[in-house]
Amino acid sequence: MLIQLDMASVTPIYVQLRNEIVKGIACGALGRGEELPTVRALAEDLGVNTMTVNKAYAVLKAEGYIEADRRRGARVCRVMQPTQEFRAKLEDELALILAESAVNGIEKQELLALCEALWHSLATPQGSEVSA
Amino acid sequence: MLVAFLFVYITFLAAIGFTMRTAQNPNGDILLGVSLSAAHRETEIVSTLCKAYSAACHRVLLLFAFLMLPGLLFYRYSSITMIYLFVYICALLFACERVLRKYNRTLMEIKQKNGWTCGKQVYVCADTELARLKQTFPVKKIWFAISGIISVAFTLNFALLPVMMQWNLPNFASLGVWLFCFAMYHVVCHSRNRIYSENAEINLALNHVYQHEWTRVFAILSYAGLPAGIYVAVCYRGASLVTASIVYGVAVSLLTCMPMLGAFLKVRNLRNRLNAQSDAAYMTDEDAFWRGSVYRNPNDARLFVEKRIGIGLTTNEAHPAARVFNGVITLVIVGCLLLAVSMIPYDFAPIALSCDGDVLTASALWKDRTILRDEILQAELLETLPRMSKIDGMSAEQMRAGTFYLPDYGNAEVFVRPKLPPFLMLRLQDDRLFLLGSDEAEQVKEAYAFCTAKPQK
Repeated sequence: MLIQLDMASVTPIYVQLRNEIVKGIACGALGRGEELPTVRALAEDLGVNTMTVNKAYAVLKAEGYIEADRRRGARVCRVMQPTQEFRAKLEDELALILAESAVNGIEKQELLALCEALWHSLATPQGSEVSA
Repeated sequence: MLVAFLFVYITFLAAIGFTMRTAQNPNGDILLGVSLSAAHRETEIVSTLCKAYSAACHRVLLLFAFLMLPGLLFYRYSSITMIYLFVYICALLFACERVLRKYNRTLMEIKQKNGWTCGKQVYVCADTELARLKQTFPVKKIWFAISGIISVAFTLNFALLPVMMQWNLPNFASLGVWLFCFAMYHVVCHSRNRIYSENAEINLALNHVYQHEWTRVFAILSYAGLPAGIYVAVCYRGASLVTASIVYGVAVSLLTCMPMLGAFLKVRNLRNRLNAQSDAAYMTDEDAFWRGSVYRNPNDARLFVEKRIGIGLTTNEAHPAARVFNGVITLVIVGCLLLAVSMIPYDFAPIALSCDGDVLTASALWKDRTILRDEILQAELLETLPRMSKIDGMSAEQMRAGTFYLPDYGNAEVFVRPKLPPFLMLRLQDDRLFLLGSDEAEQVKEAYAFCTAKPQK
């Protein structure tokens, strides 16, 4: 999976990295159970500090997308169940997006069609299983 | 010497001509130093611009082909020829860069005016599969072991040479070159991986080939210092200096250029072939970071990047180490120029012999060496210059001055013009040797008569 970062963006690099990995899991580029590169190797290839990658991995782990093991390194979680915290966060963020859409004159049907298209653009929304 | 300088001029002009020519042939998606898609590269306006660039290159190369002639006229004066060669190379590089920048800027304007895009405007990219598996690439440090052992052996060999030859630079060249190549192997082969395609397998294969090829290049280059040790040994045993120098130059050039050229072409051709077959080429538009042939990208952690035009690597000017690297290169170039300037006296300073009373005075390089007649053990008038190899001093086309090893005599202090025989060989009572000459042949003969005027001991 290719990770692309925009260094000129106002979004912090670790957030961009976290978002790229989540998108990768969603579209199947990163399979369930797939090993992730080590913090050092990924930081070297991206040309960023190891602390940045470490922070992104820590956020992903806290959110339940990846699991980290001292011996085997980081890998994508095999099972992901939406937690109450995630549902609450989703509701908050969706409420904000809907409000912004309404203010900017986006119709409900147009918004739903866009959501539908984006949902289908994910090759395998549930993620693909990787054999251990 | 004329042939050697002509060879340097023609080789340099041909290399620059080849480099300039590569700019008008697409290298991946790069044309004239600008990222363009295949469809845009084939438009008439771009074709016309390429033809105009080609014509401009031919004009520059033709002009500089004529400009090499004045430099060759003074080939007997090494200092003037070297200074002219230095100015010539600087002017040629400047002219080529001006031509390239002019057409590069024009093509950039056309691209912006037409809104042509090529690839993604991302700044940093990494392949997770590649980052995960790069640790599994085979380690090839062992390739440097043999050259390392030989280099150390050559360096230790200096202890076996005569004291005056021990601290010559070539004795340490083999170890210095080996250390440099080992450092370059770490910088070039252990830098971040390159993304060529959206297909992880292609990225893995190409990065593997890249590391393999460049490790092999630096492993071979680590032997490049060894001819210097052989050169010293051969010269010490009285081989022709010119022949040894030409053989040495050709051996080092072949050892340096051929592996690098091979690695570049192999990686580039493989990349283009795989990308053409997979339709998943990862194209990025990095035009904003290039100014002609200068690359400056603060978001790129690499020190060395592949050139867009020509074959080779260039430094990323935004990298802190690039300043150090370019500073060292500048120092070497300025050092070569100063060396050429310092050789001017050897080409033009007068050299004379005079006899006054019981004293023979040899004047060379504004210094006088006096020899008392009573000190002279043996004097010999030579019509041909004996074979010699330099220990220290200067061996220029017009003058040899310094300490030289003469296989038939031993170490001698030499002040002669090689092209102006005869030469006076003096052996003193303390076993010191002098080989003296003069701008006037009559002065040498008079000095010989002066030295032989008393009974030989």
